[in-house]
Amino acid sequence: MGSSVSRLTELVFILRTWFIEQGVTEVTTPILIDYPTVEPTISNLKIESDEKYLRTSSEFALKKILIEKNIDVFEIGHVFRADEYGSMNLTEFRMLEWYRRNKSYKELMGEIECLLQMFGIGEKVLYKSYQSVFKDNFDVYPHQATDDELRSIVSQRLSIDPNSLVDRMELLDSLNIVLMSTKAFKENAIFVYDFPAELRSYSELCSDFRYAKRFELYVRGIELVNGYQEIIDLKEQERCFVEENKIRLARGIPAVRFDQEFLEVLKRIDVGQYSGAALGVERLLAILTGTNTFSKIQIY
Amino acid sequence: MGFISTNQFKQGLKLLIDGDPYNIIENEFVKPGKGQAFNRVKLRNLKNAKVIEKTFKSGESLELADVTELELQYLYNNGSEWVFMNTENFDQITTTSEVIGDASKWLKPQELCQVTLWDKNPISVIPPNFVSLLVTETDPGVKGDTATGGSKPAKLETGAIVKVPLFIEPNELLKIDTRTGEYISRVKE
Repeated sequence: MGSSVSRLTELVFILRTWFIEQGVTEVTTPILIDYPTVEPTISNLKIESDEKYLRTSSEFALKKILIEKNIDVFEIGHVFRADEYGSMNLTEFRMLEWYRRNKSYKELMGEIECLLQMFGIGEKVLYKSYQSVFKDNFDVYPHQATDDELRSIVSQRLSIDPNSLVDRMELLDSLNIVLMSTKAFKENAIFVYDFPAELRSYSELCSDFRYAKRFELYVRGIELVNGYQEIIDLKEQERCFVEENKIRLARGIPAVRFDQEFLEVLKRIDVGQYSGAALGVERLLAILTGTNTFSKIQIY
Repeated sequence: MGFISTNQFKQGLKLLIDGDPYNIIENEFVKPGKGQAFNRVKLRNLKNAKVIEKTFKSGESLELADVTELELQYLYNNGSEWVFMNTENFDQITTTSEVIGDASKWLKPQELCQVTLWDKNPISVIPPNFVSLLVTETDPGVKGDTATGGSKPAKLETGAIVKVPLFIEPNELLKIDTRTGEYISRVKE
């Protein structure tokens, strides 16, 4: 790739070309949106003067297009996340997000593996279920561990005050840090799939309801892609939003008005199985240039 | 003395944790898989220099430690008390042998030292990186032997014992690296 000023745009060009060749339609959706994200761990930057928000991802805008127009879609655009800043996190970053009709989350992982191969980082790709990774490291399956057991694993494995973690989601999130720093994550490209139901986000649950059809891809310890098979049922989507607002309130963060327009679309149109994923473009650049800190690649 | 959010963590910030003052050496923001964000922090205990790792939920607040670093001139000691002076306002600050620790081997009156104060009390003293000290005792020098690389012990005016080349004579002034305790060179006067 070329000089530091053009590397990112070249990468965006390569990604666009690849998706267009796969027959996925490129779209652009608004950066300024009316509904903030409901997810308790993600916060929007708010534009006070206009009662609008900077998008944290184009998830619902893209899902609406897929359902209403019945096409596969992708967008590569700027997204914004309040309070996220670090060696591998930016408040403003570029996200590639795409949604594919008739694909299961497992088929989507296969598609991503092809993408990795194009970039020459697909030489050895591991697939591991979240359960097995968790069991290998903590000697218990996540769904079998009580909150107290999770708390005791946390206090053994992380120097954190376990009482600062208020719910099961936070306990599991903190243990994710431990998993991320293990050899399997640091030295490979690894898909971790079938997340605990508590970490479902907006993915469909497996038939036994214990696991969610969600996956994450880590390359050399860097989290690169998050994806899932989407909820297609209106009631279930609504329940997820309500549940997230409850978690917000329990954590002392204000509940928010969720995306009614998306629920309207789900109500009006029946959609079949579909899956989607999001990839951090700057992170991909970091992986391709062999660094694990953005300051080394001078993005802008 | 006030609180600070993990969002403002940066290298060099001084925090009060479990009653001890710490300096942030490294601060890493991690947010695994859409989940809760955390700060993984490496901290040095300013009292005993031990390094620990801690994880905090991002957004939590921690108490700041009132820590200042001053350059003070070492004046004298009476065996148990060590007296320093602030050359700007001539304030005198006294501390104990316990706080001085290994630095005592290198302290010579008039030298400027880095003194760390916590709640106005000294908790550590770092001597200058290089000091010039007089040899008080050593075997007589071996003339002309500059090439064989042999060494012998020499006692310095502060009581420290360092390895020096064979040609060094008693009463010579030597430049010493206090970080390693190694002889660097003779000091030409």
